[in-house]
Amino acid sequence: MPAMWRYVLRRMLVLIPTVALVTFGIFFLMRTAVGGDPTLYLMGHEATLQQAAQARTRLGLDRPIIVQYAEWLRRLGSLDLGRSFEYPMDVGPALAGRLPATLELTLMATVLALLVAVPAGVFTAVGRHTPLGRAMSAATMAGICVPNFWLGMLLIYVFGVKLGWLANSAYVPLPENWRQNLGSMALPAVSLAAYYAASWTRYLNTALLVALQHDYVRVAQAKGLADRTVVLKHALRNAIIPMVTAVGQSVPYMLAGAVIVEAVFSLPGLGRLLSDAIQSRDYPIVQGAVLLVTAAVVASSLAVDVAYGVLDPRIRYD
Amino acid sequence: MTARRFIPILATPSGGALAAAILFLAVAAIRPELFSPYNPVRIHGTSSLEAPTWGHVLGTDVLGKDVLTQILYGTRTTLFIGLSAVALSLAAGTAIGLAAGYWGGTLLDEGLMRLIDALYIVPDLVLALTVVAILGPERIASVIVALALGHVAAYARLVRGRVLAIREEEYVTAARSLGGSVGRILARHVLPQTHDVLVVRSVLALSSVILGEAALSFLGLGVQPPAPSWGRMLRDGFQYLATAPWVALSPGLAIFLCVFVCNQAGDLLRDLLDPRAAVSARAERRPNRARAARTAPARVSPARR
Repeated sequence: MPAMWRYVLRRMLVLIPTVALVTFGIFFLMRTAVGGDPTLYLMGHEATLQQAAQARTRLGLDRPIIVQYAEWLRRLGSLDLGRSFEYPMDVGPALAGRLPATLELTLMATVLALLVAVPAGVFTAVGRHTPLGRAMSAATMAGICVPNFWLGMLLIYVFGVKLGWLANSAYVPLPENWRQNLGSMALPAVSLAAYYAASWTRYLNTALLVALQHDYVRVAQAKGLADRTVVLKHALRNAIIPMVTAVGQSVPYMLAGAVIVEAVFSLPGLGRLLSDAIQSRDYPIVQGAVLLVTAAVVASSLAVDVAYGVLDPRIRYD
Repeated sequence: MTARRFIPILATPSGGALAAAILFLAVAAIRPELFSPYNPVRIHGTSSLEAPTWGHVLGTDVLGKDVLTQILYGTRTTLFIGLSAVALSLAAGTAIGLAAGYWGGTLLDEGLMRLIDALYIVPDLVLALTVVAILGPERIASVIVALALGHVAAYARLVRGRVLAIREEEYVTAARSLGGSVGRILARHVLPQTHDVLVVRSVLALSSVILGEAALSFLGLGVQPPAPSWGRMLRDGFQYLATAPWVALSPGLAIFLCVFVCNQAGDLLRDLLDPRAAVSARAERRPNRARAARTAPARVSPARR
């Protein structure tokens, strides 16, 4: 599909200045902020002015901001994100070390939310006049109002404090011990997924109700097809297209949600790294993490566009 | 938006309950002392982490402060920050959207929309965290600005889209040919056409800002003591989850209820004011009519910006 790839390439060219604007904005604002001087955090209040000045020179903070930014961009060209101010390590490996937990958390939450949302969306549309359908609609209404960190606490209280199932639930990387890993990720994934399960259920419900009004559904019914076939083969396939957008657009919010869910469950993820780095003014880490997050957002938005073309052959990229 | 359309809704059980809940939240925010005899900041060392009793319906926290009282006083903080952040993002987003839409296709539009794109691709909580860290969390204004920034892009895009359509209308051309100034045309002819969607959007934005404020406070970057805050109560109570779960779990319930009320109000207003977006709700109420499907919004083109 060459037209599609041309389209993707054009979109990426448009997005480069946007991502550059984001990185420059954060670069500039953090360095000009009141109390934005990281030497204060690195050296404590006992440091003399001379020591602080030396540290600023060592970190390259005494140069004009635009020069610092140009240097950062130049290094980025060779995939070097710089060195953390606070930890004795490069930003790249620091991010890479934290990425698996966040990726796993968001992936698990997405899969979990979809596993709930697709059947629930179909059921709340088809069985909307049954008591169970109404109860499920009410549950989705509640689901979109629950703060994920509070749900996390509630789950810790029920499963950890009351049932005592979380005695051995410290985070273990997936390759080390997959059983223990899944055990430690289950509750965080549920906390993060709840909102999306509810929100996507509502989305699919709406799309399906609209799809069921179309003439092609009536034709399918008139042909004598079973209700199940009409709903699942004809209406659902059309209703699922707008849902792809909903899922794709949720990626940034899920990453943001991961920041707080990781804090509740003490997971060593990107979100926690970012919020810690922001508080300790570790600029290189903040820069790198924000770049990674915005890249993920951009990639997901492109993926949605491409998926559109695959799912709906009527869409042309021109 | 007339009172005549609102009154029948208030007479229904769900509409009445919603109105009562909004009234309660408003009164609790303005005069919390009407509902509680306790002082929200006074420390009682002898009654630390007391379980719920008739005297303290939701128990006490580690400093012996009544949890219900703190929740009631926290309503003011939550609603003040929420409403201020929504008002700020509404004003900024509308101004940007009006300018970009009215001068659509020009360099100004292009520049403003790139700025909006940049705001849009940073997840809201990440943006809020960064901005609070930059401005310093000790001031309530920085929390408001941080939360407002996350919603500017949505308002700007909404208004720009509306303005792009409206500016081609004949009455706008007429106003322009009569020598109306840009400010007058925008204020008198364009802006009134956008307020319906903006009202709906604002009520829904309020619920998201309330959640954002709670999340910031939970991470320790929101409202600082002594101002009572639901998110910080959750954070402080988290360490006593095993021994005194009421301290952490009750403020979460307050956040949940407040967000629920906002979402319900938003849905209700959308049905009233923005019939196009409410088309699915109508379809549900009249399952056998195909009209709703035909008036459904057109297929989204992939070239979204």
